[in-house]
Amino acid sequence: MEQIKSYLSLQESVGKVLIVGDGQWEDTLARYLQRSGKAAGICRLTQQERENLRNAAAQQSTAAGQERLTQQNLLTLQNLAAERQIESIVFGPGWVEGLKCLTGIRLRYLIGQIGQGEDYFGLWESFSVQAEHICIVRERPCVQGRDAERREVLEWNRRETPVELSVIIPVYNVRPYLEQCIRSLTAWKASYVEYLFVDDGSTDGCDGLLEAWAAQDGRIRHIRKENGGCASARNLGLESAVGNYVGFVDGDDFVDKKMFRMLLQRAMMGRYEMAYCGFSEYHEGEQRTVAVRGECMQEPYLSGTRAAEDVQRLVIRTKVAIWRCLYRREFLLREGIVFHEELKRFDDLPFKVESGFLAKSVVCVPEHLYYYRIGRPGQDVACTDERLFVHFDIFALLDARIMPMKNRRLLDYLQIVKLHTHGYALSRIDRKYYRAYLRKARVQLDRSAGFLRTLCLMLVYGGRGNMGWYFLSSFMKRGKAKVSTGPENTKS
Amino acid sequence: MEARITFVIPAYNAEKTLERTLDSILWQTDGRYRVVIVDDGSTDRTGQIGKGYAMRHPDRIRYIYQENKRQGGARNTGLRSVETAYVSFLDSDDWLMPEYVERITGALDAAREAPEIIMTLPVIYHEQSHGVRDWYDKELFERIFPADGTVVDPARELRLYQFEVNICRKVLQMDFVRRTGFSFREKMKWEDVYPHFYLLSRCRLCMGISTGFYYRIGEGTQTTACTGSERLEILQVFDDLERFLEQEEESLIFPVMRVIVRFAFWCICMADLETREVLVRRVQNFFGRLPGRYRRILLRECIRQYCLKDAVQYALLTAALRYRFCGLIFYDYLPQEICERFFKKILRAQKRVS
Repeated sequence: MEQIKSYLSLQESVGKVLIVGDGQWEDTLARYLQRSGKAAGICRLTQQERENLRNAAAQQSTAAGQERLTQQNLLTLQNLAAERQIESIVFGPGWVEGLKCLTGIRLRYLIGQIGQGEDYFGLWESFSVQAEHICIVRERPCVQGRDAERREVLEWNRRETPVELSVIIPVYNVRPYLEQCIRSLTAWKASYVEYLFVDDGSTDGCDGLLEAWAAQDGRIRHIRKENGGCASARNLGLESAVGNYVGFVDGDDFVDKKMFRMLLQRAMMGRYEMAYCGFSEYHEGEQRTVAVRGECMQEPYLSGTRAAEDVQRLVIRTKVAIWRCLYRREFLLREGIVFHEELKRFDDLPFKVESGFLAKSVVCVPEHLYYYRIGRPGQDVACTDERLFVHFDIFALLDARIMPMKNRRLLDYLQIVKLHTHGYALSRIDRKYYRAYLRKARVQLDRSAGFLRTLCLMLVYGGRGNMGWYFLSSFMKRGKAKVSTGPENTKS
Repeated sequence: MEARITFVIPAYNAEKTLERTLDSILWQTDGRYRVVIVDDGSTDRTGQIGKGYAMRHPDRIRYIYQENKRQGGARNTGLRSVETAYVSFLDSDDWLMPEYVERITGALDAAREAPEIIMTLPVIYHEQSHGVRDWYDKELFERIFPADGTVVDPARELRLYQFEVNICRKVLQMDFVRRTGFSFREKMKWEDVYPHFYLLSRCRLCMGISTGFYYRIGEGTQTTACTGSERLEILQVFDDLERFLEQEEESLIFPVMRVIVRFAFWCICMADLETREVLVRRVQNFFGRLPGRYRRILLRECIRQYCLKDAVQYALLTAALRYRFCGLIFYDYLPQEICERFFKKILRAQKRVS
């Protein structure tokens, strides 16, 4: 109720209103609308109409009943709105299913509160074609997360474009897997999504395949560009996206049919800046999937959190997996987060760190919905040579961004990310590069935290496996490393 | 219809939110109000918007421009041009509930004696999520003012001082303002902390009405969200409060000290690395200067009025602020976290044994 009042206080008037609700709720709201002068007129349902609406809802929920829903019944419902020239509807808990039957009327405002477990997203889906403004409130009896919102709200205003979600798929020579990717994405038949396939100058015939699909499915946009690396493809996608939310999918992976619906549904209720789900690894050789556990799929993230520490901690608790996230486009624009095109690989690492550090709210969908293909030849993560030196460029960029914020916690988290990344690189790099890498790594680590502090961080936040090489690097001459001409060129 | 209340709106570079604020006033159900917009040397479209509204509603809205004097200076300018019996301050990013004026004038008509301060109950609006939350002291408010129009005397009801220090929630009687010679301190931040105590200590009739404005948080542009050297200005407020305590009665020591401790802790938490060190040092100096009597009273009252937990928390905090070596924990969250983990481990091990 409080939330609806605040929404109404920001509107001049909602015109002639139909109130659909039960007993006391309806009375209180009607009184408020009258007193506050926000409604030009108020009408309510008669007992008969209530019954009709309830029956229609009950019938619609059963598959067979949908046909039995007589023409007569529907007509009276639609007349009900048309006859009284209703401009807006305000509804209370328990009426979502009933309202879904009221299709085909134009509305200015649809405002209401839902009860536990009601399908608000279905309501939004059916009314986003008919209404100008939608505001659906959900009150939660108790929340676990620190600083979590007890009242969540889905606010939506009509824009010129119906697109709500843009999915960006950079494509580069993944012809054998692309078909599966497109199929899994387009299996979801929503009209408010666009798929931006950015073809980064593929040479293996991805082109033709995308062309054919784009002709079949109007939601697919095929963007061609000169080859310029994954980062530039993603950036081009970001620039052309128009949805309120953006997601990323890699051309060689595939998703669950309901992935983006669930993410969007969760992110919109409460205007979260980031939403993520779990993912599974798909082993190419053995053709089996393994759900990845322990990726922050617990409280406080499940009920959504706005506490800075919890949001930022995600960066050190999860793997680099930007494709499992949905980002609010407004947030990326506000913070100026883009992919760094000068990096030829691992461009998602700085993106993940920056978005994780700067996001103000995040929520998790506790299901494994993305399938990450591993073990295909030519994959980015598989290299063991001097290409791994790109990590130093990445962290130089991140240092420049995070250091001026002068926040101890962020610096520490950045240090942990560095430790993990360098530890990973050292575990797989060829022997001949080991010394050079280690020396550079230590110089970079010393920039954001001292020896003792780093030790504490390793103890507190795990990563104890990194202690070995960290100690080892203490015995190296580090002064020389600054001027050393280690393999700088990472473009090879 | 005679206007009863004037809204003073200091506006500094508020082009994004000012329209919302002004609209919410124009949409009031009761028209007995005036508005004074004080443009505090804005460099964006604020002036244009303000002038536009003043032109369209010349009988109700006035627009004043001045060189930048910060919020306190702008409020003083507005205060000088008030002609109605009551004045209410409203920030340029907040907005009113639709029946605000109606409820206040209604309560004033019904009151036997005109109240000097009217306390209202705002609602918090989170700009990121668009969700609303209850005001920080809603429970206390409802306990002190069980019904609209309840009048209490702050000298008898000391819990009034425990309210959130916020000037916008207080509607002030102009006679009362003139009599006490009240004005804001200019050219500094946190200018509404000191007036909270100053006004309440001189007020005899305080009325409560459970309507208010929407208080916007979460955008990161307000005074309360800054992290840099602006934080240091809080020390000036502490000095003011200390001087205030010397003149006032014993009974005020507890609420004032509480606010000081809370503000100190909160400011340190919010400040960035460089500011934090300076801030901790200065706060320590300040606490070292305070008479020990104040601290004892604070602790005693804590134990008397609250559970032991609060008292322990305050004791630790004041001790840490007072003694130099304890101050180290403020520079860094890491020792805290390590201790926490350590204790948790011990607890878990104990559980396993038992």
